[in-house]
Amino acid sequence: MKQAQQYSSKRQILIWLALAGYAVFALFPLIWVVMMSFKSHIDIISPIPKFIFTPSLDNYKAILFGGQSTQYEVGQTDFLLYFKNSCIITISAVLLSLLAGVPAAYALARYRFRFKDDIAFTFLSFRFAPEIAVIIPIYILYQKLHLYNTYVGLIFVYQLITLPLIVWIIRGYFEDISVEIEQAAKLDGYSWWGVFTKIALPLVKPGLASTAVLAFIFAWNNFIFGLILGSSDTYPSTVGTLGFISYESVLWGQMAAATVITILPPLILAVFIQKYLVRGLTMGAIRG
Amino acid sequence: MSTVVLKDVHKDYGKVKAVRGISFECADREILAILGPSGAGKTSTLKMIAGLESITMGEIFENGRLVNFLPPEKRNTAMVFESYALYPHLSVYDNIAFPLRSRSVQLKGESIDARVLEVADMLQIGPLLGRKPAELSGGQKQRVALGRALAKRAEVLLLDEPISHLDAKLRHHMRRELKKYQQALNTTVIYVTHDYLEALALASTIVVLNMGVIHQTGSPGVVYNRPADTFVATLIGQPRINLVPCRIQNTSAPELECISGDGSFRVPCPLPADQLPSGCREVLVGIRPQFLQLTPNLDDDGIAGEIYVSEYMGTDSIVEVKVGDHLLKVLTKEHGYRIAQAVKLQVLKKDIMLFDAQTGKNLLNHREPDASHGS
Amino acid sequence: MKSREQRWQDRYLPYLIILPALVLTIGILYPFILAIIYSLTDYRLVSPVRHFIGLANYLDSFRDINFWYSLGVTLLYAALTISIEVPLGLGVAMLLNHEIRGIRSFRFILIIPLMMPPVIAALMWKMIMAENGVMNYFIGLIGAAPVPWLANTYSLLSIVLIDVWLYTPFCAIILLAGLQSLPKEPYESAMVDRASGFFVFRRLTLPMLKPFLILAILFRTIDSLKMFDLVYATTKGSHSTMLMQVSAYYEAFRWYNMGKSLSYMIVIWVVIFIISRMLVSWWNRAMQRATGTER
Repeated sequence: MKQAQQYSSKRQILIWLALAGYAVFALFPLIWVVMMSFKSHIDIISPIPKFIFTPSLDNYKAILFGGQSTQYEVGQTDFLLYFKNSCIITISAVLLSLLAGVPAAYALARYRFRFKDDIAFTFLSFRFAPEIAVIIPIYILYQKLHLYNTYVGLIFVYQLITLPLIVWIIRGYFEDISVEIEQAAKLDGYSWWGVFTKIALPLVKPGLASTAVLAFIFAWNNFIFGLILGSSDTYPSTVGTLGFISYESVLWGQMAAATVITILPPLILAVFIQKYLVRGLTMGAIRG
Repeated sequence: MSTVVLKDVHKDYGKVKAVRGISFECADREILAILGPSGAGKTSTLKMIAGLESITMGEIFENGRLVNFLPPEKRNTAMVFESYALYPHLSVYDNIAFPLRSRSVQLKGESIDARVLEVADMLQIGPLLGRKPAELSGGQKQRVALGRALAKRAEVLLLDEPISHLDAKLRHHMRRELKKYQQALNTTVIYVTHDYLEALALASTIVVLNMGVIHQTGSPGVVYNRPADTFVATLIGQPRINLVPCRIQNTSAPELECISGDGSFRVPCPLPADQLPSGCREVLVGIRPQFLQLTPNLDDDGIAGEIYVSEYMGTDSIVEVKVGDHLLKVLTKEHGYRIAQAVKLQVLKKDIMLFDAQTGKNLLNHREPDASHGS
Repeated sequence: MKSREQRWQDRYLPYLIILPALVLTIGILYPFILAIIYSLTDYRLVSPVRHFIGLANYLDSFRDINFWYSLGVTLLYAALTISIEVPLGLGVAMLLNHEIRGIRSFRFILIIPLMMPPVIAALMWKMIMAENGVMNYFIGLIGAAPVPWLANTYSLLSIVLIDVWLYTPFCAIILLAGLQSLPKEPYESAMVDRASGFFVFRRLTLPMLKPFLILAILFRTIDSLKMFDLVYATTKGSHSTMLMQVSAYYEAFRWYNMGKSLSYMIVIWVVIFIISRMLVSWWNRAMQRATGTER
């Protein structure tokens, strides 16, 4: 960025305090839930919230290995399955989108052909569509095609999230490559496939990786597709975590533990894509 | 053997007509320069020859073979781009080796290595082979780009403003180097430039292009001394040629005279009356600044004027002389003229060019070449 | 022969490259079209015979007070969230635009909520906002009575708060990118002219930031109008939080009125489409003005 400006120390402290205030707001729920996940049931329901307590791994043990950890709580062993479902669906959806979307992004960036803008806009329009409008007909179709409550069905419908993201953002990265570099490669004796694999792909690699990660995060965070088109065999962990609320009781401690585990993958991955985040969030409208 | 022939080639980008029917021939092992200002269609022409741009209309032959539809990877051409277009993710070595590893060349490991080192040696970029393009200076990038093009040993080498982004000193050096490589490698070169000096110094044929139309094709001497029209005349030569609108008059003098509107500018007409195109009276008189002689001696014959401004350039001075309503540039070795000093200007008849005021065409060109000035 | 081959490649290669993505798209597009067709039928999941009933579902919805109520709540929700998130995000972005010690950590902390699954974020807040939760404890410390955060009238505002927590970082990040892309020279000349901070903000920062503001509003509008996760995880759609997608969900999957549910969705879809078209053309104009490429 710009050269570091000179700040008076008073002004610097004020800015710092304001930011720290916001950071408390941003982090408090997270910290509280992490704390909660290490608390025993008695500590959780204590009328005066406890900031200091004896941490225990019981909640994690309960959701990961099942069994009755305490006399109050009923272990829920399905969480591990939901977590696995999330991994399978999300990773496959991203891979499928990459496979289909990256060449499409290249074609949209580099070639002129009829209906190009219409095709590009169609990809984008998925981002704007209310999910249930698509889910209802898909739900009906899936019942007929026996895709309801299957990985394949969910992976396909997750393309609604991952495909537009990958096509639009990677297209921007391809457009950023100088045309002449690719022309040079053609003159050097390479067909479009050679140019694509030896020049274009290596040059967009950082953007490609970060976009794939972003697509993973968005797909991981999705809730509604799994809720409606999945069932207890295929629920992703976002839906599974909600299952800790039942009519009889809320398993606060286990829900907190499940929450922590569910947000861990996107949070860890976020560290790697900070630089590319703005492009990803705006579908490439801002070239960061 | 490799020749390149263009026949009535057009290139449209939608409604924009970038190239409008150009034809020229590039002989085997010659350097042909395409000279023109930006937007002239030079790069489009080059990219059509390379096969990178489709041809809207017309035909391009390489070695007598029609190549209109041959994809670039199957042509025997190499190109140095104005932007150099180095592969940023590859080292200098891999950049140069890149064309050698393609399916069309298909060299094996050791011979690739030998070829890369040979090229690197010739261009003196051996120590840079391990670097990435981002770590190179402009001049080094230019050499690598050239190296990549030379490594392929293509029969036709296309150069798009290859040295125009270098600083003046390096440019001069590279101009000589380029000529040396061309002779050593025996390739046909098509060279695109906006700098007339590069074209004059390097090429054996110059094609002057503007707005997608060829104004003139010829050797450097012809293009310089007998420009086809005012566009070519002004494009080539620095300081620019002086162009003064005049009327041809049959006065009492023994010869025809060119006289500007206010009568202050009066030179003998280099064409006899019977050779003037019928009805042509309005002309532009063109005189290159170095052919105007300045004299402080007011008793001499010549055009009377006064010094308007004088720029000292070391060995020469560029002096602007106000003659009536006109400002004439004069290149002189004599310094020390004062502003507003009265002077006389002299010009030899053979140094006067005459252009049609309407079409800009050179009216002297149908004469026999008099081989007066070589370049 | 060669020439033919080349021509063929030029013309059809792009379609070939795009084909896999196109197949997926058509797979998704087909239900899109089905959605419109079904919305014109009396399709019910329990009785798979369907009849074409024209616009009856729409007319039915338009006559239904619940539809208008739901639409109203949705628009209110969008208006509330955007009018809080964009100014707050701008404030945060301007704070983050200072190169002070620890700024990188702050920038990272900020995006943490954004990376979270919304439904999980809502659950976290649900735990905090529980009757005997930590939020009521805190307001009890200053002497206030416990608030039923996720019940009746409070619930919409509570969900707005969660939305603000989740998506203010989104606005802040976009606006920060905008602030960082601004040219430095106008600010230097303003400094030379001794312009006041407020004047610089109004006359320099805001106009130049306009494209970024519009973009933030655009994406937030679309997502607010489609909001489902936060409501479902907290109140499961109590009366006061009956957003359009939530209504449509219950209409379809509790009452099996697929046709009617789709009429809800098509209406909100049209609303999104119109608003985003307006914002996009506004954005284009602002971009041209901000970069000085007006035609």
